[in-house]
Amino acid sequence: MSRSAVSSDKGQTLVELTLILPLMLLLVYGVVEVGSAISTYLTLTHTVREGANLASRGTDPDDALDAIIAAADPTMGAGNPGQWRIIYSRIVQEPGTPCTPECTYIIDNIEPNGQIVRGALAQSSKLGTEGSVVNAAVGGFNNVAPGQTFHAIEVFYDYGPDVITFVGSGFDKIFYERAIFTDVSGTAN
Amino acid sequence: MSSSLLRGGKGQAVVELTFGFLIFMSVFFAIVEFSHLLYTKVTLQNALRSAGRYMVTGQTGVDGSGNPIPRDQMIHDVFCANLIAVGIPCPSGSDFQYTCIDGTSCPPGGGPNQTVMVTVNVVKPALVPFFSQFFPSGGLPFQLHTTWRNEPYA
Repeated sequence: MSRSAVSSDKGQTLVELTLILPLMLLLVYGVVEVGSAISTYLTLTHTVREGANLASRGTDPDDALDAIIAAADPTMGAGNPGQWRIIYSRIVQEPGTPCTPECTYIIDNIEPNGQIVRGALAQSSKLGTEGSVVNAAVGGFNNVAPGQTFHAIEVFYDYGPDVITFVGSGFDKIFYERAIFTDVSGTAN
Repeated sequence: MSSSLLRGGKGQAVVELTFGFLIFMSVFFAIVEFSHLLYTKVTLQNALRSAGRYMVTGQTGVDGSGNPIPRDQMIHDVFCANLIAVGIPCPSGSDFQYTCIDGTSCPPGGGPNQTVMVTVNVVKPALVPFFSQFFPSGGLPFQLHTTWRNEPYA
């Protein structure tokens, strides 16, 4: 083998390493990032379920929101109010509207039962605004028995970092989760 | 090609394999470690949720001799019974804190109709001891919360 051929092999190894190393690092980073995203999503799921559970069992919704936000810190907390929004909605049957046979359910707008909003992320409830009929896209409310009360907690979370945008702009960085629990009394109060 | 050059090439391959293997194993164990951290987080949260679910019932327990077990001890025991394969020793009772969110005085576990936040602090040591050196407390600290409204038990 000539001396020049040996030199060429050494260069090839270096080039291969250069090509493979970024891919390996990207793979590790991807594993960590996806794991972090799943972890965040689990936190959101836990948060909304706990909040809806508390409200449905008679805890004041303001206190319930305080509790779940404290529990979700630092994912959601005073340190990053622009990254999240939590919305509490109380859902009741529309007053004075009989069921024919389906009942109409609305977002309660009677003080002090209106929507409660925490966090500064610019997002609005997917259930609807105060006083409006619950968004049909939510589904299920046309089959609900008369006189029920529901407590809904929605959370929006702007998931960073921007590597997600780099991977694909079709990936929705705003995580959304909700839980809707029936009031334990089963009736409007 | 001379024989000395051939030997040199083999040696180079062994050295490359050694370095490559070390890097590969580090990456592999980092992925395993990170996966176990996520598993631990989910398991701890589930254990605390189970303990909270027990708490709201107001139940107390009895040991094998019929002696009563205090409620906070039972809450602690339910939590520890659900720590499965997380590599964390059962925390002491003093690692549990109870806060009534309406600001009223709060006995351990709270009273009937009180909304109680339970907080537990644990430290998870790394599966691979090598990684523990990166954490001042010897592992990754977890602070867990769960909040429940106690039932109107007598």
